[in-house]
Amino acid sequence: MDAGIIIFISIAYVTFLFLIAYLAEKREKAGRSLVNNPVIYSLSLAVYCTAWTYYGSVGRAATSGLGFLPIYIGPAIIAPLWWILLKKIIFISKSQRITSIADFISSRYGKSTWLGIIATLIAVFGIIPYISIQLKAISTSFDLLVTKQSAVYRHAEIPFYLDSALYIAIALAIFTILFGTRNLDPNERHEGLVAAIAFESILKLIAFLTVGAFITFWVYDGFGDLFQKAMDNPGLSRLFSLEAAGINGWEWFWLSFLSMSAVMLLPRQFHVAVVENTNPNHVAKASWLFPLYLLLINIFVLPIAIAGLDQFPSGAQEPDSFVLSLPLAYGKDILALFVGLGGFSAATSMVIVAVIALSIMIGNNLVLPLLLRTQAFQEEQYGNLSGRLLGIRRVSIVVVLLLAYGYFKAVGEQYSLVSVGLISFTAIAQFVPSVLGGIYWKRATKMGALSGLLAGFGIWAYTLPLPTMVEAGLIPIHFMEHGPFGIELLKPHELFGLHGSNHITQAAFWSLLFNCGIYFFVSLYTSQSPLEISQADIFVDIYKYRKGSSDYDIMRRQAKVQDIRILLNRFLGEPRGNLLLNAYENTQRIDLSQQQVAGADLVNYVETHLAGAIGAASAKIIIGSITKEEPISLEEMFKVLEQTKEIMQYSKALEKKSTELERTTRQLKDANEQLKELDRLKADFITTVTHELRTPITSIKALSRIMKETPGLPEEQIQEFLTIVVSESERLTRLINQVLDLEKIQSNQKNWTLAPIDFAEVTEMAYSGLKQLMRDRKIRHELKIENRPIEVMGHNDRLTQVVVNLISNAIKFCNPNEGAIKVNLRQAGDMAILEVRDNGKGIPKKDQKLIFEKFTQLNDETRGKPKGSGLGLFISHSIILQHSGVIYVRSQPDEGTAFLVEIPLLGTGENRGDEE
Amino acid sequence: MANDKVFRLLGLFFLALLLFNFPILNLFSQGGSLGSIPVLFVYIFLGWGLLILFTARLVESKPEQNNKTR
Repeated sequence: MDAGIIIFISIAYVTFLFLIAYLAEKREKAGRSLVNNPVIYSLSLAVYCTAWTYYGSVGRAATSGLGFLPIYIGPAIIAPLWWILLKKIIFISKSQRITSIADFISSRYGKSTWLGIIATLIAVFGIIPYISIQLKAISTSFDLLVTKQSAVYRHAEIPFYLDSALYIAIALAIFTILFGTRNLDPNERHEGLVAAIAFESILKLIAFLTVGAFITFWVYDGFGDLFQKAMDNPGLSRLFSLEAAGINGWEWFWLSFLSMSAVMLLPRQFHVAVVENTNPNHVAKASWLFPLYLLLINIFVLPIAIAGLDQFPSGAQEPDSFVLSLPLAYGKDILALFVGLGGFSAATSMVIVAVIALSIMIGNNLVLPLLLRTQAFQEEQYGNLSGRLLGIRRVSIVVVLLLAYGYFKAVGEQYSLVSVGLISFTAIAQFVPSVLGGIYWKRATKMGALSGLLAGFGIWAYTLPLPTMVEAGLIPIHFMEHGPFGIELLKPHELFGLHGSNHITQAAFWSLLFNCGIYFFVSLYTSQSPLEISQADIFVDIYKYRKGSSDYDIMRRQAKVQDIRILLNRFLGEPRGNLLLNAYENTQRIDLSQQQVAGADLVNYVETHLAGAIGAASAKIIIGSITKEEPISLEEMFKVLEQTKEIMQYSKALEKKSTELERTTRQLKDANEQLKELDRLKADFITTVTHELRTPITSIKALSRIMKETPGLPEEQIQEFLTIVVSESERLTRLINQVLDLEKIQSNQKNWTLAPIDFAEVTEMAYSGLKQLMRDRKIRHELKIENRPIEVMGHNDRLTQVVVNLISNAIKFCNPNEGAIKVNLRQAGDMAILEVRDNGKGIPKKDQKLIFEKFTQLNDETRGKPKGSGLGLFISHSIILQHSGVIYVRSQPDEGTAFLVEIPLLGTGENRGDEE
Repeated sequence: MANDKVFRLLGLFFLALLLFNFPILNLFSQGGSLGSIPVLFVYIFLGWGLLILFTARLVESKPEQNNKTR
């Protein structure tokens, strides 16, 4: 075929694409967008299918059967999650005006310049091999169409100025520049481009289906016939078993994993799926239309491969070009030309979108941030920058394509399309941890992302592109066979001694393992800057911010309106800058010409729009140069923290108050309980006293009546009765005296005069008064006094009362059958100690305090009816207190009770005060 | 409602991941054919088609309106 015709058709085709783009842009301006529908969106995603799919899949299928499929099954597997994942990424990117995958990563981690640069470099170096295979596919298909033979000459061996591939690269560069950099769109949206890509997707699908149908149904008699022929051929039947074709589960898994990440994160996929997205809801339809597209374009791959192997058993034709050589072999030149056009469209669509995406990244995330930091640039205040931005992009487009050509010429030619493409997939998979972690894990830090990416990229570069350079002769061969410096563990294709897996698999495994691990651990051990924290919050909780948009007004910055105007004019050109400000004025209903200073709201508005044009990191730097404050200064952070602290303190104080209140309430309740108890005791006491009073009165009354009403009573009888009456009266008197005593002691405590007395004498007197009673009751009794005299300051009668009281108590409560009472008086240090001990039931611990209270009578079943007034111990207690002494009890249940009285001895400090 | 949808989509994802990976895949990779079409070929493309069908049914089931006909 004549080369001139092919070139003419190619140029005509490209012109047609421009026409489509032009029409789409015209309709966009008219407000009737052509691309704002889910079908066009899904077709634009099919830019995923490149020359790799178009030519390479058949080549791969010819050696490994269905082993080419994970690349397309992966996207189908992940597609159900698009509705969750991709939609979230789109929402985030739209709200942050993100324009590329590098911008996305940079923006998430605090709009980091460095992260943007690293991500851009990974993307550029990762994609260059991928672009090179498109050049290879276009040039070999061109060669094939012209000469009808494959591999006539090797591109590496001819001088570059005669090489068709170079001119193809240059043509593609011009084409891409015309397509992508005619003007600067602040949102990086190119509706014309999307329309052209969608058209290319339709064309390549139809072309491939046509050639597939031709081979399956014209050359052969349908699938059945074709497969039957293959199964009869032992060399071909192995293609129907994955293991026989050399594919294992580990490799299959990694290939599908790589494709899952590639379909969303490849720069061109990110560009069409996220940046060019017009409506997030289109994701729903795309998540099944796109896999359907993949299914259709793959259904004839294996049949074509089998047919190629069947028709060219000698291996005269390269499997990568079966798609073209089969129709040529049957003399169908027109069909072959159409198929070639389909391949051309697959390759060009990939190159255009990928290179545009890369040029945006290089411009916004690599060149501009570096440029903005140079002094010369900052001093140059006026002038239009948008022209310069476009210039940067054009240069980067040319550079990227020339690098791709260089890679093709140096190494790409010796490899199949798929094996080179997979190198790029593995590079792009390095973005997975930073992106996935970025949108679901707030704690992920910039340092984590940076170090994870660097580690993954390093291992990728070492294990995949480096060995291809060895085979191109750029690096000595022993490096591959024995590792660097002879270290076998570092052999690039068997890193760390991992044998037996294919090199893509092991590279993907090691690079992602280190990438994820380092990302995770460094994130845990580093902290985030305020800006990182706020960006992390926006990315992870994007739905929250979408609902209440005013919620995240964290940037408190001010700038002069004039500065903003200049800035916009510089970067976007005057018309677009004015348009933006007018739009702002209209929505906010303000007149900016009346204002000197722009508030945070306008500054944020300008920054997000600038970010669309020049990337988040660059926009941050530029806005930073005209604003007064850095985003969230440390002081502000402290202020916020301070406020939080105050609120916390206030709430703590409240809490304290409430516990205090609770305590007071409890105390009051206790006091109330005590009062109630006392009241009850008093009632009991009155009952007891009345009863005690009534008993003697009753007997006096009864005896007196008998004596009065019975004349002639014997004299001794009368005597006896009178004795009782007298004793009962005395008992009455005593009782009444006690009650009176109590009041007296309580009311005029200070009226006693204390004088030096001998406590021993007092005790002896009281004891001997009760001796008879103890003898009557058959109580063993004993008095022991050591070191007499024991002189104290005291009141004779009162002290006697105390001793009598204690001994009476002991008599009352000692063991009723074998009572024993010991009274002991001694000196210990400065104190005189009187101990009165009985052998009664003892007093339970809980009552020991209570017994010195007024009106207390121990009253329980075992003890029976109380025998006293309940005042004795209270009176004693009061008296001893007046003597500056103490009275207490020692008792164990069933081991008797000891009452102890301690009074200071005469001449000690305590008493001298009283003497005066 | 929306939460149910998320879990159903996640479930479909994991099911597909399981069915299109070893060892399940290997069960159909032992050679043999189904009316002269290789079993593996039938399994993969049939399964793929079903996956697309289920994905479509799940994502297009919008609680607020019926979008299937649009």
